[in-house]
Amino acid sequence: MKRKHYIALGIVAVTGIVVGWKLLSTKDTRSFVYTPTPFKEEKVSEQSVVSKETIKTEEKAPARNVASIPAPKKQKWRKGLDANLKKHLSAIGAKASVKKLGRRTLPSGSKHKEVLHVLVSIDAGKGNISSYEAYVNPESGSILKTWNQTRFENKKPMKLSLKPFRP
Amino acid sequence: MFYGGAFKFTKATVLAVILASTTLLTSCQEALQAPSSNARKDAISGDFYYTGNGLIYENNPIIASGNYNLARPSMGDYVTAKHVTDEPSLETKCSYNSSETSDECFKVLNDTSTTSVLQANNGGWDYGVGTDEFYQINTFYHVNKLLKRFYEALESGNSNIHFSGSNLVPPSSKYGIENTLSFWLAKGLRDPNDFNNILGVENSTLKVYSKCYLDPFNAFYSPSENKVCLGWNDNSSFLYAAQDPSVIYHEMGHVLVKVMMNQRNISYNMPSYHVTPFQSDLGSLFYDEAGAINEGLSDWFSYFITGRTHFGEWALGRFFDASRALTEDDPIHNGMVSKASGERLSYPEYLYYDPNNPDSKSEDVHYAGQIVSHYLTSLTEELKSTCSASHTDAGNMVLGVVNETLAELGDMTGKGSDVFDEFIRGNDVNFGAFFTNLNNQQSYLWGHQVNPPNFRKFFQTLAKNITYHITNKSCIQFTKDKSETLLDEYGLLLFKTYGENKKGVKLTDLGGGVIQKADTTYQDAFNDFFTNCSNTTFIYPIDNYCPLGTNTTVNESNRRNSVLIAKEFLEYPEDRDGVSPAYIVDERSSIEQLLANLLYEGKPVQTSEGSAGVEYNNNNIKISPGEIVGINLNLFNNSNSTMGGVHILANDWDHMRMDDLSSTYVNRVENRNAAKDIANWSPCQIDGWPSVDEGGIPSDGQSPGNCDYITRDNFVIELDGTNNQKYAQDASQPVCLVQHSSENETQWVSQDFHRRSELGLEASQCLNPPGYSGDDFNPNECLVRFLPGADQAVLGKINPQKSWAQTLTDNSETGLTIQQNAVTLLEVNKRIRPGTTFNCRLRARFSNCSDCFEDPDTGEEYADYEMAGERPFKVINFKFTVVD
Repeated sequence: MKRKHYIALGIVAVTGIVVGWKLLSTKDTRSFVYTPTPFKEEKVSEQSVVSKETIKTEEKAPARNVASIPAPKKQKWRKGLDANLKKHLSAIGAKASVKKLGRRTLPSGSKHKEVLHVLVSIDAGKGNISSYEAYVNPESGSILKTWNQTRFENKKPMKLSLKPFRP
Repeated sequence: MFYGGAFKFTKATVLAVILASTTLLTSCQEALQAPSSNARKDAISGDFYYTGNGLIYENNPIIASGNYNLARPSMGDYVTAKHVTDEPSLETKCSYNSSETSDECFKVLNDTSTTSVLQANNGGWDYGVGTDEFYQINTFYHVNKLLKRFYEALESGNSNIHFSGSNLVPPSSKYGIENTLSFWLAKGLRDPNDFNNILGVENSTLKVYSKCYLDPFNAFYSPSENKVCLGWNDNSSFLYAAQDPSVIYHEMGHVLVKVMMNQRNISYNMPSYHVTPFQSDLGSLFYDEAGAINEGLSDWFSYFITGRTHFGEWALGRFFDASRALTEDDPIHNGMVSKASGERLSYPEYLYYDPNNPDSKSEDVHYAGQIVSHYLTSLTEELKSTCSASHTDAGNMVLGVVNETLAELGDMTGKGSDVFDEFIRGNDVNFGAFFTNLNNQQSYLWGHQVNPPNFRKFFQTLAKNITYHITNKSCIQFTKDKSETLLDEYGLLLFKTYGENKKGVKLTDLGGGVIQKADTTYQDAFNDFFTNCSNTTFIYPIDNYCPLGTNTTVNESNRRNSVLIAKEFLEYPEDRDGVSPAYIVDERSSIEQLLANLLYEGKPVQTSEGSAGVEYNNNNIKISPGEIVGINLNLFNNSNSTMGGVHILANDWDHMRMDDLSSTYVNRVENRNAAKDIANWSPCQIDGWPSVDEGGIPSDGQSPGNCDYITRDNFVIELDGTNNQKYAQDASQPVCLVQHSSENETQWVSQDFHRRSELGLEASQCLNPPGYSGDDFNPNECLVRFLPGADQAVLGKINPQKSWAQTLTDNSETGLTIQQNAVTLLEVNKRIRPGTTFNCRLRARFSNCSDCFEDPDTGEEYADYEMAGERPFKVINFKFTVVD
């Protein structure tokens, strides 16, 4: 083989290496051997899409304020609920988020009661997030009932020191 | 190609060199990539392509290695190749009786920030051992294995109960469970434009995260978000909960308990669906017996799959001393218990028993749950030996009766069985015969606070189902006596009858706002629909139900270890020397911490801002105006046997009478302005208190509105046609009365009376004012009230001739450090004059009580409505004076 052949071979090899490196640095090796993309995007159900959009429509602040249109005020119930959560949770340094799920009418004796159904999530840090569903007063935001609380396997109780009391 | 020692390049040679270089670079690049935390990259072989197989841990590393002192395991040493799934990704539907979930029933993801589901690698699960992908595959394999086995057992159990079981008891498990999709986590498909309108049903997809960062090391199930987190953290970065299949089974056991408890809470009759406003759960406080039952059942699920009588050896046991046994023979017990008669891990003695630290006294649902898991494991083993059943068949039988039991206890419709189902019987959901958890409106309150599952309720219902569906059908050799003897060995024969002919209430709409309320029984309700019993031996179709009409009694000669104690032996030790009757805390930061913890755990307490709050707490160990005070009643066991599951209630109940049934309106300005007749309430005399001279109303006969008559529906405040608030005739009332002096006379009166006549307070100055409570405002809690959310307490057990504090510690007279489950919170209005005296009528009972669940005169079980009165309880008069 002549020298020019070695040069040509070298160019081809270097080109191949560069192309290969580029390919490998941008794609997963498994897809290179004709496997599908290794992860599938999580599906969001129709129902939850609708719910999310409903919430967005109702509560999302506009991207910018138009001078003649004031920014929507935080609803009274949410203001009350947020204040209540913030006030109490500051003692343990936890933060809460609330997601509105819908407005419901519940039978209550021989009357009916309007409530808001919400999901409350409280983040106490280090992965410890407690969540539950709640019905809240649609006016004041006070929590009326809760259920579906998170069940932690390793849960340390809060301990209280009490003193004898003889009334 | 080579020619005689020389070589020459061809296109093929060049291509080969390029490919070789590429391959080399590929491996170089993998070596350079930082593996994910704790990842170990084994070579990806391609052996599993198109097989659906992958490497998993069949058992946890300790069981796989046989080395109980295993330190950090070499992950690759304990893996086996198994078929994982033929699905293209780690998500799948579940099927029951040829019906599939509407959506994936579960999917496995890496951590809570992950939104992508792992996909198969060329139809297989070739991922390196120890990688994040490996743990996802391992988790999927075990969750899927458990669910397949669960559905196999559920089909077998339901088939037995509905098609070949006894028709003498109404089935609680849902027939046609696939119609409501409630064999999994079902929910109503709601109209986005009208949330009240349910268009259909759908399943929720459970997300199981195999690698959640959780510090401390933990795992959790969140039913509101449908997720299970299996934890790890960087304190022991090699340790993952997902490495231990038995822990996966346990955690998923909580999910299955949830499914079984809620199967009745979606009703269906073409084209209508009805979904109850709440879902049931087993366990409400940090410690309660329902929570212990939940833990015990979940431990049993590990045995159900593995057949091994210990669980969590690796993830819980190796580094945290928290693994648990499921049999007395286990070495962890160190001989403290055995399978010999009278030596089992029995109730209530072992409620506080931590096998890793036997001297400790901890109220913990996991430790108390060991009694449940040991019993269920023994039951399974006995069914194997008595009926020569395989582990699978015995597991099917046990799961079948557990499912039947949880379906009844978790029923939020109040009906208890499809036999009385509102859709099948054509009734409105609010009417018809109610047998479970009082009625559909009060069912959450009843099922989780007033009359929640405890050891007695759970094991009585389970024993009934064993008798009818195992003893009478699947395994006749396991006789009623054998069943009772086994329960008794565990101290769980806590009942005198099986309670088959339940008592309940039938509500009928007579029109014009009039509701007829009548007592009923299973047999009465049956006779409403049919005239003759069918002679068939199975219950499907449900018209074949043929109630027995009586309750089967326990053979008392089988009761050797289970001790029942009369409620009179439970004392509030106000006059007992050397025993403090109560403990309190009014230190601000402690109460703030408690309120925050309750809110975090989903038991939020709404305080009355402006009238009371922690800012008034003065830490003077007294009850002062404006304070939020933590109170523990130190109840005393004056018997010679241990009491278990002492439950103290401070919620509203039917202990007062409206003075004039024509004056029913709530005392608030709107009603006074509308010239409505304002109601006044007086205390009923209970156990002789208060005397007639002090305002007590003595026994007055069983007519609605009277003291002797207990509310049948527990409704409190209603609206008339013009939206004015009035009390229901037998409304439950808050527990605290106030001492009122006038004209040389001292009487016990309602808080409403005192606040108007003595203090002149308006509604807005009351606790829980209309601004918070709206139409539910009740001025009878204007001055002091136990805060909803913190108005019940559970004391695990009380030793004989000891107080609860003395049971926990030998030195309780200087103070007591206790868990939140034993504390109630009292809110005090800042406007109360110091020197004002209150008497709060709390109610208490316990699980091994002889007369708290059954009428001692008739031997009949109390109907649920009786739980709104005093008869099932020991009434405790907690009297105190508010001082500055």
